[in-house]
Amino acid sequence: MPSTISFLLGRKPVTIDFCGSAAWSPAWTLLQYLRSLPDRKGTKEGCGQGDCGACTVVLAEPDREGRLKYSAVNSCLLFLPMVHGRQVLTVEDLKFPDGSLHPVQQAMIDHYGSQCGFCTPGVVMTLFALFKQKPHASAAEIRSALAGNLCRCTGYQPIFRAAQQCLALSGPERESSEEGSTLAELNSIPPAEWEWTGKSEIYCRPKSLEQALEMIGRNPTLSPVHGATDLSLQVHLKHNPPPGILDLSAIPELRASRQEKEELILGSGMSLSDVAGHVRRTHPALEEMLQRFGSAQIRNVATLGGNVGTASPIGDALPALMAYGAAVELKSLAGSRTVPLSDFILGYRRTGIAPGEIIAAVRLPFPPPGARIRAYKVSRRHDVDISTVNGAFRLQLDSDGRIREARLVFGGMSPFTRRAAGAEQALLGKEWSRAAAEEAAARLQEDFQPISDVRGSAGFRRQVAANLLLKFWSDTRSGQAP
Amino acid sequence: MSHYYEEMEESFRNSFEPAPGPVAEAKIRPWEKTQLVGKGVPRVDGYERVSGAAQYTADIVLPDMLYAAILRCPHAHAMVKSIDTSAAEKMPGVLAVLSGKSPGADLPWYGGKAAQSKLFDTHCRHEGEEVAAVAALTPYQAADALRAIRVEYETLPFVLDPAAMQPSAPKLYEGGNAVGEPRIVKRGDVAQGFAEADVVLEETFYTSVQMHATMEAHGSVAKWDGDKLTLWDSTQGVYDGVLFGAARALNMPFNKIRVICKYMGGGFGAKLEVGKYSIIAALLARKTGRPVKAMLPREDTFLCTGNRPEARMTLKAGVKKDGTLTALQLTNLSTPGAYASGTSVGYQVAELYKCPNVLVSESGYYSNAGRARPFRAPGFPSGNWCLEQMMDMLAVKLGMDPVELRLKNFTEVSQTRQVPYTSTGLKECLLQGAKAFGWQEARAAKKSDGPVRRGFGMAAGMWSGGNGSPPYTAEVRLFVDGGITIKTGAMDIGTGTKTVACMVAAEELGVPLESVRIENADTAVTPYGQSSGGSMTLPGLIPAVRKGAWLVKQQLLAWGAEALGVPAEDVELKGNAIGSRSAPDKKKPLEELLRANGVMDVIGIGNRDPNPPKKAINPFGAHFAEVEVNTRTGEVRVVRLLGANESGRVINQKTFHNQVFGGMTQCLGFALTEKRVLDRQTGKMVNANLHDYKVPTALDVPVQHQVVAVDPQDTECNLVGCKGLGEPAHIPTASAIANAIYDAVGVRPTHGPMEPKTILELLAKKKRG
Repeated sequence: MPSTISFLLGRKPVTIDFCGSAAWSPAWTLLQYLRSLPDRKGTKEGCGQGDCGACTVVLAEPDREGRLKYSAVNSCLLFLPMVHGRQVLTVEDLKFPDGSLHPVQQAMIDHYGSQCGFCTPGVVMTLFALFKQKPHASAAEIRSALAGNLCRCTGYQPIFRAAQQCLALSGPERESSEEGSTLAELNSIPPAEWEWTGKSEIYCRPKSLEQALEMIGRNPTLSPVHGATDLSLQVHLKHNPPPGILDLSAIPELRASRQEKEELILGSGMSLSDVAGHVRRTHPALEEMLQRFGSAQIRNVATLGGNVGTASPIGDALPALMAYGAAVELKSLAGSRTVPLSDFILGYRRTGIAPGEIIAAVRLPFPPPGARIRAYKVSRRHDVDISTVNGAFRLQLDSDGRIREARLVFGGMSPFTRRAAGAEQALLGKEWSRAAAEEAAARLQEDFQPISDVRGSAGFRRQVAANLLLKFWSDTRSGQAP
Repeated sequence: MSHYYEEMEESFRNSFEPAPGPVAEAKIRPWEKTQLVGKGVPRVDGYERVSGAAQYTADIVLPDMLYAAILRCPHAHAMVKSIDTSAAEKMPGVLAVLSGKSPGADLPWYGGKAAQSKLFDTHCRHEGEEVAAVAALTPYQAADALRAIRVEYETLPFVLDPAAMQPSAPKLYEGGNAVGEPRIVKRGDVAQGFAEADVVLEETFYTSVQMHATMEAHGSVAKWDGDKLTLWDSTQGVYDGVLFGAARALNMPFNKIRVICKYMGGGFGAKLEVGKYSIIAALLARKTGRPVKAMLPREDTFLCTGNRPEARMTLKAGVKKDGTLTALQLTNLSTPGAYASGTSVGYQVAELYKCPNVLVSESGYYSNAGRARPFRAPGFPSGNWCLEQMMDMLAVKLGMDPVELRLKNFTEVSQTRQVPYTSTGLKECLLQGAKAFGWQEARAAKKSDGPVRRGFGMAAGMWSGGNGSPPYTAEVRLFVDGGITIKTGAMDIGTGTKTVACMVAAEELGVPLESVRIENADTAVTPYGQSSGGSMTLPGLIPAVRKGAWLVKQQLLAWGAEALGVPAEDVELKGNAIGSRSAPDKKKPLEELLRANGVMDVIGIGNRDPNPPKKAINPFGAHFAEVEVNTRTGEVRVVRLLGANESGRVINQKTFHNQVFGGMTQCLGFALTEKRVLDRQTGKMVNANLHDYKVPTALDVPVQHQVVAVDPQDTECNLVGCKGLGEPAHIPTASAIANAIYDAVGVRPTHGPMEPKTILELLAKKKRG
């Protein structure tokens, strides 16, 4: 059976058959593929694990309105089959056929945005995605978009100025005459579905949920993956690939969302940046945490399903999801079931998922009016950092101002994200006062026995966790917006 | 291997008193008015950098090229008892395996003449030491083969901290763990100085190990053609670093090795010497008869390519009521890791301010950790950290404005050498910087008493290098169509050397910038240039470029005067012809003029002249910071920075601004987030990646970042009047941030980096009283 993917590399259609190719295997990263080509050396490898952004490329694909949507991604994390049906744009694709430079490239020259230049192609691609996708980006949005591109030389200020210059352009410079034909070409690529078996690995690429359930039902050792930001490290950095990979990135229904009366249903394959856009108004605390999740490049491919399924003790989405009372929708050949997230996560990187099941969606209830909800993250660096401690808190007050319901969820304080039962209990029936917050904070010492590691000491974690409750109080006390 | 940098450091720290230069040079006068120099000009190689066309060592691919991988010791301290490579040799795609027993691989390494180790040493003194290497058809096969090499280690007890000085500590060397004798700098009598003081303060300070974290990893590609070797190397010096080092290691003549490095993805001091990887690539290439590429994985760059060493400093300062310094006494204990490297931090204590009595005593010990290497202004951010926080403490104690205290102790005479500076812009940096920052208004404003506090701080600094010195050679060549090509072995490691060289040649010859091209850093083609280090490339190379261009001009003027029958002063170069200024109809095509003199090009060989005798040449700066400190979480946000720097003539405003932005940002990382973490149980580094090692991102840098370029109109230091900037722009930022934190919350973060944990602990301690 052929195991074929088709995509556009710049303006050139490319088809790779993994069965016929001795050179490629589907678990290769997009970066490994690009660097093996003679004419794509502009895309650099800085770290090979999504920390530096030197390998940033842009993926273009049709959005819901049928227009091309451009996303900056770390090519070092993406498995090659994930570009099927998309256009891959690298720094070599930006200049015009006569060799003249794209406005983002020209702006980088004009503002001296490059010193040693090794990060520059990645920076240029991040700016290109911004230029295409967010022409009216604010200064803060520009900085946030660039947070995934480490530069050790320029101090970033010249790059910010370059961004402002190219984004100020409007009109014809922004349009590309080729976009119409690119769309047509991408739309003409049919979905690909195959199972590939190599010497020691299996890579399955279903195009429908039914097919995915059938594959994992048949082979429960498959590891389901959407964006591969975690699994890719296991394969390429730790040289410890799983027995098989179930690539869910081609299943449209997992990337869709829908709204019901009492909840939002978010497909497990929606990217975090996509989710952030959906929950901005309804679940602002979750949105805020998602903005500090990894880098823009990571958020463009990493998914809610992946974060939930990985069950990392410091997963950045988990406390906020739990505070909102999220539930996980699981599907298998046997049917489907829904489990509250706080019951789903059982231990360090351990969940209640059964063999043959995949996470299909996250159900996110709308918070009742008046609920006081905030989420916080403390890390050593503002962005692109793993939390030392993160927390999300929710209070529901009675009409007489007493606390009826409390959910205090912490990450980084125990082997897995969980609620602080003792501290919650201490709040019930009390008025939301500084004294109540302090009492709850004191109870945290019994709720958690954090460890010391490279990100912070146990004592620091205890102190910060307690202080976050005080911060929550001062952010939500009476007189503040709920 | 090479102690080049230490020797270089030594040479610019010692007074350099050269003989006067040839008479002809006296004619080169400072430019009165410039057309191009002093403007803001984009890079001449901007196109290559933004289009992906720039080719780095990592991008070199040659026909039949093999990939090397290096096996490293996983222990902090161990002896290799045996190595079995037989299984690895049989792995698919493997063409060669190298270990210390292989022919040509038994090479002395580290520590200069008294080598402390070998290319592959059986005594592994820190995690990551080289044990063996393979070459295979693909990088994946090479990595697989490493795992098939069986090594038997005898693990040894290790030591990471000053316990190494105890007699019972595990020994790295038979002679013990002390790194030589304590280094003492003494002036006057500190006891008397303290006796004369009205206020005496003493404080201990600590700065952590900072990693270079260059964006391009270290690496080399080696290719043999008969007895000739070509190395493409990610280096800061094709000559001093790689060529001379490789020639020594391989026992080869200089002209048989060609080293090329046109683009280089960041060095900051970590790429000043030939790497073991370069020699391993060369040996594997010779063994297999095929080109070999050895690029280090990211983790290896953290373990084995250098770092800024930690510093444990105690500084005692005496001052009179009016702010006059009477005595400064510094002790510093540090470790270069397992092998010798510079760890001194005391230069500014002895030099920055007028102070009659100084005593600096510095010592070091070996430890089982990766070796220190020069890192952007080696020792200076650490020395500045203690000196400039101490100045802030003194100012608080005296009730004096910190800027005022520094002005009070300003000097125009080098304190260690007792000769005047050719120029010192420190006073202007302090005054102009404070004005542009709004220092007085900011410090006078009332503080918030909420959980987030705002503070303002500043610090001054200087750099011992930045002077530049011979030798440097620049070849400036004029084509008959009026085009110019510069050739130099000097590096452009991103600092903008190529651009300013073109600007200076264009200025001197009066041609547009577009007419000038530069080719550099290829030892087979370009004349000698020093390694890029010490902020010396600009003041070292650029005067040589000007001189080369000037020589071309003199030749043209002489020939032109003869051909046109006018005085030489009346001749000018106009495109592809020369003409007379006074009689515009008198002109002659260049080609005709040159052919008549038997040539098709005019070449000027510009050698760098010596520096003026009995003068000190140093760059200065003053940095200002505004911070917000969250007293609940300990998080610090730097909301505003200003760098006022004086580095002689500003040749390119854009380059100048860029160096200051970048230098300060790297020091912001040193201040807040960057530190190597070694596991106490195993001695292994736990954050050897770009995630857990925290380089500042776009969200960590301040929203407002200002640069003030102070130009002292220095006509003495060299033919162009410029000094180096890369390092001085990096030095006082961390101290300014620390002082701003003190201003915000009243606790002094003497131990860096100032992580949320550190701030919270200090606040808790203050609360307890």
